[in-house]
Amino acid sequence: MPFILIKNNLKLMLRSKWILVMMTLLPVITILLLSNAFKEMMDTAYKIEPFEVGYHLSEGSAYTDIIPQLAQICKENNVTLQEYKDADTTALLQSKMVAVFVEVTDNSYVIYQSNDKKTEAAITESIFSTFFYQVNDTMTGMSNQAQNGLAKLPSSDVEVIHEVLATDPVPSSTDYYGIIYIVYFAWCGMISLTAVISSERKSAISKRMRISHMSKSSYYIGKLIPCAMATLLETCVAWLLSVLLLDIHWGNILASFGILILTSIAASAFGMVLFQLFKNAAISIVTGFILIWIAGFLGGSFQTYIYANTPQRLVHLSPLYYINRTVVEFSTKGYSDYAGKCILYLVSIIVICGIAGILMMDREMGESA
Amino acid sequence: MGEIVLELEGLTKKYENKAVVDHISLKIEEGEIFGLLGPNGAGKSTTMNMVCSLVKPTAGKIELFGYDTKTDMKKVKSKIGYIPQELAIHGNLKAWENVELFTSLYGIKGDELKKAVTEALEFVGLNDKRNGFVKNFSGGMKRRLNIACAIGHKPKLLIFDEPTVGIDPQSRNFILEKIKTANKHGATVIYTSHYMEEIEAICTRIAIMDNGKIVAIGTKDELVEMVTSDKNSNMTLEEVFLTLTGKKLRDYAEGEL
Repeated sequence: MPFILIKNNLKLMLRSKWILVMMTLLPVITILLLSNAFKEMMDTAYKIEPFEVGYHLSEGSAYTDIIPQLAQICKENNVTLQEYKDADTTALLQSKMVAVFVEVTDNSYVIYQSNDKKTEAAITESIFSTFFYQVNDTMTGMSNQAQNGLAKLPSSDVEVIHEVLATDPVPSSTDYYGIIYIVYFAWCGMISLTAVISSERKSAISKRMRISHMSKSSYYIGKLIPCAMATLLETCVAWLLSVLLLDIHWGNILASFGILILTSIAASAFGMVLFQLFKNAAISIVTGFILIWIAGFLGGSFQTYIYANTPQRLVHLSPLYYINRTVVEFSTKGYSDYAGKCILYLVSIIVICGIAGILMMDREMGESA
Repeated sequence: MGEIVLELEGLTKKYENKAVVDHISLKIEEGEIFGLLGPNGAGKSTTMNMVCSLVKPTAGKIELFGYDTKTDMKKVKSKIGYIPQELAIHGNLKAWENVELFTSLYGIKGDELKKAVTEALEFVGLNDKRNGFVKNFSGGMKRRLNIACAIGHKPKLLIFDEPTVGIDPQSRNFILEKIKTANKHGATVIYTSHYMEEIEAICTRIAIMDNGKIVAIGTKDELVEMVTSDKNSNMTLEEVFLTLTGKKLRDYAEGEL
């Protein structure tokens, strides 16, 4: 292990002030800007303001007695149920007196909605369908038991079970972008390599390296490890700043840290391949950032993966999707079903880029005119 | 006769069928300060790059300390100290960190490494500036540090490729004195330059290269004898050089070599 090469390359990376500033402050600034910019969008998506549902019940309906129970369930969901007799449905909706209107008959109900109240209509439909399904189910069971002499049909007070469905908890926009952008900038860690590579290429250092006893793999490791260490260190500082300044909740910190370690190594190995491939720092950085941007675009770094319109096949190609999803779920649930895939993806990147990088060292250590 | 440190036999390097080094042969013995003199584009640096295995020869043979570099270069790497024409040091590292880094590449560790770093810095007169960042050093200090980085592992053969380019007379004189000191301590030296006075001042034997070929080789007196029959001649090395290589300008555009 070329410890002194690793140590000195790490010093070169950490002494590059503008890289340090970029890698520690830029994530915090980006989180601050994006979480504020998308706060409204995410809140609209996740939080529905209380609204009113108008309804009309046909005369003598069998459901008349159970409407108070339905109203109670609606109330628990911040929905007010208000009866309108002989009302003009269109006028009610247009005047915004109600968000949704429901016409209830004996064996069906019709939901009227306006185009801007689709979410409210979906919530209403969900409440009504669950309620009436359970009512009908209960009434059918009771009817059968009554026919067999086991039970008496109640005249009213149909008992309805109110079930809350289990769903993935959703992070706030600050938590979401706070986590996502720490991961995104960790992928930009390849920029730390420029401190070493530009210094080497500015002078004849590669000549000294090639004339020495050092092997290709040592030369490779001598850059990969310090780059991963510098990236992790910068990421941790950005992480700490974001937690202290923006109160971002990471949930399972230890597991998230493990993912960030792997991300730093994978990002460094990926950067090394680009630097060796193009042999030009500017082209390597631009290409790397474009590829990371695309992976981020697909993986939820800009538009949240929760509401992404991108085709799922493309989304699943992005390593950032698995990393983002894993660390966000670590924050919201404390665990993630995507952790395994995320680790597999990162380890694969490290292995593939590592092998390619060592093979390409032939070019780096090869003949120069 | 001392041990042969370097032997070249028909060494040739061609780029796109143009020979920049053309069948050169020479032997350098242990303890020599051997000067390789030639105008720009003569093939001096290419020859030294081939000796150090930085460039593959098109044809010919190189033996270092009796080993064929084509097959046994690894065995002799630690015996060579190469000081390239360009600076090969990190500006954002301190002086001692640079020497430590390049010395460690030869497997030297721990206390031995610390000692080697201090000795190398003392040798070039930079030990009192060991904690200074190289980016703040003057051109002469950088050149001296460039040498320190190549001598930390105590090589037996020192190859200097124009080490005094662009520095002040004091620094140049210091470097030349140190080369002589290193030679007194047992190092064989190959010194390439187109500064006649430097070669004349320190070299025991000189080869003059032109257009990829060695046009003359010997001590200064032997070279003088080659161009004049006057035994009392006071010809300088520069006059010998111009007589042998001509006065035509040697400007090469990039890509011509």
